[in-house]
Amino acid sequence: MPESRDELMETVARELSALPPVREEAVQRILELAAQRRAAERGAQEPPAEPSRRARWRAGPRWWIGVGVAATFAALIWVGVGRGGRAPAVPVSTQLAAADAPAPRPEAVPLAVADRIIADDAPRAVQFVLDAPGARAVAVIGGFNGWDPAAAPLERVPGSTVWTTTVLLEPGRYTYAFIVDDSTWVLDPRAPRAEDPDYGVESSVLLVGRE
Amino acid sequence: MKTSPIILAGAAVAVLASTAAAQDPRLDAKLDPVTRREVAAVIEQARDRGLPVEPLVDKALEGVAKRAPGPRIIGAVARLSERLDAAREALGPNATPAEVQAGAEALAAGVPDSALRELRAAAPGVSLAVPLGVLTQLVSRGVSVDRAAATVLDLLRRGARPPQLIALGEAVQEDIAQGMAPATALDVRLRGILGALPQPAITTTAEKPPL
Repeated sequence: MPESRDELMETVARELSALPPVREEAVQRILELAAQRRAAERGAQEPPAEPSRRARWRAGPRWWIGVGVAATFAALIWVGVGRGGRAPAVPVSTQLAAADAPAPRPEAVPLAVADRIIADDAPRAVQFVLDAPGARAVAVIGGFNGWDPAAAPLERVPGSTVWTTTVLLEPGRYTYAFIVDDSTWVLDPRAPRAEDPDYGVESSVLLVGRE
Repeated sequence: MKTSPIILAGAAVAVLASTAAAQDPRLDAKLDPVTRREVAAVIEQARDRGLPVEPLVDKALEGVAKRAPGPRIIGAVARLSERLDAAREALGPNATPAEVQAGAEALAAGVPDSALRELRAAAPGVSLAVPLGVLTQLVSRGVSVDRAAATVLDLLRRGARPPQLIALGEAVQEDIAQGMAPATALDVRLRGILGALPQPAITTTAEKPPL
């Protein structure tokens, strides 16, 4: 049925071409992980001793698997990147799609990135931004990094007074603050504040969980 | 009765191992000896009760970052331990550390443990970390506890997902920052999300038909 196959391929190609632009490295990473996963699955499957109906089925044309994989990736990319790109501006520090996050080390999460893109409890890349004219150093501290100024230093955007860094955070509510020049406690001017009955020093508040 | 030296040595090793387990190298470097010992004792007791201890370490480190005196840090860690215990009790033994921590923060904001129990009953297989975070945020921004808890409970029963809950919390927060009354802001923004959700699927005990 080559004609119907071509029609389907054309339909899929049209749908894929209509998707919003994605980051090439994110797509590449997903494809590499899928290839690893498929290789692992192939390795775990023992070939039948003699040709069977199932074997003949497996040996036959499997063009539709490619279509399904492509469509699945396209849907994942659309959910993880496209929707994140169209999300309204976040009043706190910007939360990015997981696909935009730094590539995880292979030994940390070898096979689950595609799943994490759409999982509700998947870590999100959160960008912290502070305009700090005259600052020599800026760090973000909070419950997510042990309140350690060395854990998440911000980098100054060249040619500006704006400092930024991106941190992977699991969904939840976090309190945080900026430390300027290793000594000054600065709240995020774009984030709500949390009272602190324990220590009497306010923090900024961040809710993580957007796609 | 003579006690075997081997038993004594084993007991000593067990005590030392227990003490070492309760200590955290991050605390060793930042707390004075007295504070470190008291905080370690609270952490050890919490670990014995099966509570997540990372929030306790974070609370102590937050105190260091905020330059709180030792006794204040000890008190804050002890109170958090009590709230973690109460939250785990309300959310059930299978609650994740993130849920227990979020529950403890909700309790600190004035949310009653009965609300935590209702949320768990409404969504037994769903992580409550984000819903509890949004609930805490709504209450801290001035929405009444009863109203905020009822709203989050209703949204969970309708199948609202974390991104929708966070979007609601952020929108309410922005409206309040613009001068709108908290209750009005919640009413307005709730209309925007309810239209996209189905009616609650779970009936209460009183609504169940007789067997």
